[in-house]
Amino acid sequence: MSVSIRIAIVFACLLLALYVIRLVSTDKLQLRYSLLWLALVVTLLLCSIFPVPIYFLSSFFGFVTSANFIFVAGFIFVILILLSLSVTVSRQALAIKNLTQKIALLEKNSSSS
Amino acid sequence: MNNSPSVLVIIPAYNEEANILHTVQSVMQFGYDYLVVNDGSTDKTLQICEENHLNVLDLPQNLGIGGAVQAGHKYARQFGYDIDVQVDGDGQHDPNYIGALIEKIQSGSDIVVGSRFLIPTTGFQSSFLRRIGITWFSNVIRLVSRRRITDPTSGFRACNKKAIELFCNKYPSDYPEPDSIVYALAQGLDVTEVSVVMKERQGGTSSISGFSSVYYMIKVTLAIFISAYSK
Repeated sequence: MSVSIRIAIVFACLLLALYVIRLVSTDKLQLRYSLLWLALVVTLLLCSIFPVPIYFLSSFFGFVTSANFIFVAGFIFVILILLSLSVTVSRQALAIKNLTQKIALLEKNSSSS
Repeated sequence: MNNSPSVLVIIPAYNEEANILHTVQSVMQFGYDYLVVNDGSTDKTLQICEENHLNVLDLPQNLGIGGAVQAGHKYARQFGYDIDVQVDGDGQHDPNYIGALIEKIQSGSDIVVGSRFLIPTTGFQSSFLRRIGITWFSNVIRLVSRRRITDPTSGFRACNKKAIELFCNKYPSDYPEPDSIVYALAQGLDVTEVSVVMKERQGGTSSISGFSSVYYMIKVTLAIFISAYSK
């Protein structure tokens, strides 16, 4: 893996990490939802700063270049993040449904009494 | 209590301005308590209900049929009804048969479904393609729960207190009819059918048509399997 691509990955990761932390500090992103993003950043950073284990792993799995291995690792993280978002959306949909029903029932009770 | 159980007829209505008044009046003829659940309609459904002083529960957001019916179950639980009966707001379900559903509940069933196909009848039998879908669901349900339910998509059904409690805690949100039967069976409830004759819808359009029917088939089939094998 060339030095330039490693530097590019480190640079991109640092930017992403700074942006995520900034979103958290300005209350635009809850800490709990930032953790998977930060884990993604840390993993990619480690991969590009200490590439030797990656060389070993990527040749073991048959990747042509170790950069591909890093992209796949990042992609897996993104899939996990998306899945966790779907879980969050579902949980919120359930909560909204229950709240909607509760509001309707409360309104009904207060209007009929 | 066995002589005269308290019965609530739940009428979910989403944009049913053309049918709702007629549906409610035909239920009132039989003297049942009823509740219209207005599922965030964008037409005059709510206005018609209020002008005619109907008993209406107004959901501030559209929740879909599952959320609307569940709201009705919650209302039934809150006011301690022994039985609730779901009658769709589009006029397909003939209130004449409510008595038969209730009788079957009183003879021990937890949930009773009004079926168009239990005994061959002359009434509305749905289109050919839909009957294929219904037969498919019927066979899938038989496969996973070894019960013969001839009309799993029928929304004409009665629940006793046990079923009301179950559905208050968990009810599928969209396309809930076949899924809820399998869920109830998996939780050990007794689901039976009585024969009913249905009318063609009086107005409005079905929520399921065209391309979305493929989506519907896949989604409900998956939901049935998940409900059958989850505790």
